Amino acid sequence: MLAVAGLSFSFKDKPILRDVNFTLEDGQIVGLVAPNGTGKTTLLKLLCGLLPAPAATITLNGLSLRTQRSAFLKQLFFLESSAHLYADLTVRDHLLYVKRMWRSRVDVQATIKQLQMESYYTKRIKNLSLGMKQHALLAMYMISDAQTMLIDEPLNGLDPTSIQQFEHIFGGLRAAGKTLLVSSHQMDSVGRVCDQVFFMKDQALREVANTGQDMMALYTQIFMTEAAANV
Amino acid sequence: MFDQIAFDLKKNVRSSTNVVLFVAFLILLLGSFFSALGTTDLSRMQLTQAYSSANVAIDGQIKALSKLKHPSAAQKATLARKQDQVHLVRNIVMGNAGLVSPVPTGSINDLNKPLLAYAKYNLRETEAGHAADLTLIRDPGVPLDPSLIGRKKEVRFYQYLVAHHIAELPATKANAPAAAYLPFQFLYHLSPLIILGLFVIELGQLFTTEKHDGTIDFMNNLPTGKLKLLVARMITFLALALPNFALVCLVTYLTAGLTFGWGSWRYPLVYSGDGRTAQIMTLGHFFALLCLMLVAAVLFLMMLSALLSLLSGNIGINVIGGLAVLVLATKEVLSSGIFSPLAKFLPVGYFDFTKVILHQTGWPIFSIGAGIGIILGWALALFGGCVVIVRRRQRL
Repeated sequence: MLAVAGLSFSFKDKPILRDVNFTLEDGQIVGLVAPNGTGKTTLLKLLCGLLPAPAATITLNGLSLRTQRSAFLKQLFFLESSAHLYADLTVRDHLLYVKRMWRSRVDVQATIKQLQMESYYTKRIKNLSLGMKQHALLAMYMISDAQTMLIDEPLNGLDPTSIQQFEHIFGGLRAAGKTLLVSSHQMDSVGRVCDQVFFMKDQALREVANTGQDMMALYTQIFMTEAAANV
Repeated sequence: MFDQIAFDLKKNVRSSTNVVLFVAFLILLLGSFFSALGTTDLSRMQLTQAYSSANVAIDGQIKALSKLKHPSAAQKATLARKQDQVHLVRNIVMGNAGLVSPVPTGSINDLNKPLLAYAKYNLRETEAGHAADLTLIRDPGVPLDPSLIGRKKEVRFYQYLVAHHIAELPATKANAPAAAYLPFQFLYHLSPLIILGLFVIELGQLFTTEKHDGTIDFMNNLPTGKLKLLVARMITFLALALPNFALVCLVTYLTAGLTFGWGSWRYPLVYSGDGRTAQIMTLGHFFALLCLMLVAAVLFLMMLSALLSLLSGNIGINVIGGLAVLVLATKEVLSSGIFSPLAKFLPVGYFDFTKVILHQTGWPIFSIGAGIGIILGWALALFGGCVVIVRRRQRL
């Protein structure tokens, strides 16, 4: 369980988050939705300590981010985007490294097969398409076997087949008890996959349970009605 | 830690920086080699001219003194000394002529022995207070040292050459044999600060690339202590940079050896640790000390680069910081009034290795061992700074 209390953050003088509190239970997929520039990636970075939040209390299964950082990070995986992979290393290099560092028991070859990466897992990252890199990134999440996964816009650059494949894998991870916090702009996918959704607005999170409602309509209602009124 | 080092090595071994620096080091060290290939070696001729010039100068002085109608007692004594000198120098010229003739005759010591005799004479005369009457042979490429210790060094040097039957290698000899080629590069052609400057660039690249490329976030999210990551990166640098430089030295040695011959690591360099007695250091010993000091200085610069990388991910800031330290290591700065009293306590006081090893610095220094200790002590202090920063913010 990821518990966050008193999380505030400003970039220079611009407030991004103000006293945010929430809890993510095990075996859940939570969507994180907001227009560009609102602070989704900032929130994900704060949750794993890439940005400082000295006043906040962030714990993962009772482990404090501040005082038990390595143990905390052992249960979490976050890599902002496939653009942050090592260009000169192969997919296999990345996967083996994650396996070693997270001391995971997940089989690398099986994951490669599951994601149908056999044809390119020995190629260097710089020679891959965006879709292939997204697969490599997802494979790293799977290999880490971390309990909590913070995933930033994983569906970017994917074709419909791959999107279905990713959604299927997300479902499998949830079934295995993993917690996924997934930022996305693809509201149809959010509606299909997520158990609940955090809409990020006015430096706060609005938590909405997914009951099968039209997520795009909800997004429009929350973000675009006000924007239209301002115009 | 081992996994991290293996991963870092894999990341960096393919970096084009390694190749660029290999080529840059090679160009620096083989600069004299390439210039020697296209030209005739004039160093022996320059040495021959130096002997002849001394001979001609003394001859001229004798003629001038002989023309005096009423010489004073002092002038008579000077004339007598000049006649002794010309006799000794002619022996040198004769010995040299046998060696440089198209059909060489005699042995190396036919030149070494008269040189030793003249050196001993000059030492005796200097000790007797007649240094002003001496005509010293100006070795091309080496600054003339008219002091008493200069004379003692000369005697010690030629004693060694005579004892070991070794021919003198002129400092300007571009086609020096392999064993002398590398040390001579540092002694006469290439400042160690330039070599360190290239290491600074390599360090700047290695320690800031992850921040520049954005991959540092992945490193910071690893479930391991961040200090381990930093240390792994340091080990990676050492594992890549030092063998790279060693390989350059080996290639230089082999290139010079196959072209100019191998030479002897037992060739002498003369120095004075205390300013009173002259001592011999072989080229092998000199080069080993040079390598030791180079490693110590590189360790210091590595810690500096690591510390700077924690404060800024900008490669420019990192490199400029390192180069600024190297500017402090120049003789102009270290000999200046402000720095001179502090120089022996600063790591930069020992970065001009050749001068430090042969005790030829223009600023006060401790012994070589103490110098290495000071460099490593400062490196440790910088590492302490890294530890404090990483522990406090738990990120690289």
